[in-house]
Amino acid sequence: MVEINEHKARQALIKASKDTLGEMAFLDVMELEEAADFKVGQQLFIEFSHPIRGRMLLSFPLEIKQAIVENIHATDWESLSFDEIDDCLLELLNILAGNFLRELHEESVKVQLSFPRVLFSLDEIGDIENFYVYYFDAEGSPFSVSLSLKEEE
Amino acid sequence: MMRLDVGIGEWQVSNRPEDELKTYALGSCVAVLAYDPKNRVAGLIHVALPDSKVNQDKALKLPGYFADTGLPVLFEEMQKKGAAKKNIKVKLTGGSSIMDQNRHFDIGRRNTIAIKRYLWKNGYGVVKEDTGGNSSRTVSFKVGDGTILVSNAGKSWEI
Repeated sequence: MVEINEHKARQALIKASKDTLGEMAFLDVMELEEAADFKVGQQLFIEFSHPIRGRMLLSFPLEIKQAIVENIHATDWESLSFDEIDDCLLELLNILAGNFLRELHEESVKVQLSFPRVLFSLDEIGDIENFYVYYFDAEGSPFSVSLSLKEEE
Repeated sequence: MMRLDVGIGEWQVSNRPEDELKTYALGSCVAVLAYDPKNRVAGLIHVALPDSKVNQDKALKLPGYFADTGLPVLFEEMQKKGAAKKNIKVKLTGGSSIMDQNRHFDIGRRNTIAIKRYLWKNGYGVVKEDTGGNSSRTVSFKVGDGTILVSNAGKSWEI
């Protein structure tokens, strides 16, 4: 069992966020040292159960949502259906969570993830005070990834 | 053989098989190497920054300096010289993190992302990439067969 501490989790999340958003959505991501204010336009949630148990909440403003979707689909926002928009955002979170877990452990580790889902309210997940919140900047717009981790028993 | 040197923010396109395109000292800059093997048309651009919004005057004078203004010009020029868009394959090199080891203002990485974003949105595929790291690269590109040789500090490799 790999020991997990806040520093290791942070480093893994920074690398996973830069790689996932850079490679998949062609957005340049930098970590922010301090909390950033932004109007949340979309929240996505996923749980994982192996190699560690935990939860990840991805929150971003509308402009990042639009940039991600337009870059992945290589088309204008207006031409996309709600399903196309949600599908690519959920897939992004799925890959982000997988990359994070592999970064935290090792490249070949087998990961178990729940289906990612769109949240309409934080009440749907509860226990949000146990999340660590990490802030990032994607080409001028802030967003956050919240993590709650527990080693597998 | 004629060697066509490409400076920062410049581009060259050739359909003469005997030509070689060459650019030097790619630090954080990225060389986009586009080739239509069927019509034997090659293009090389030496991009320095991702986005022309930072200096639109410069973009007018030297569009190749920026990814968003340079790439359209490169592909337009290639098509004028006989390349067909559907045949064009793209390779990338450069984009090193030379100035900032902490990657806080990693222009090389930003250049690479901006270039890939443009290529993806415009239907061009990147077939090979040798980017990142912290070394400066020199690259030569043979028009006749599309061979690309990257070199640094006495070593060279094909991409």
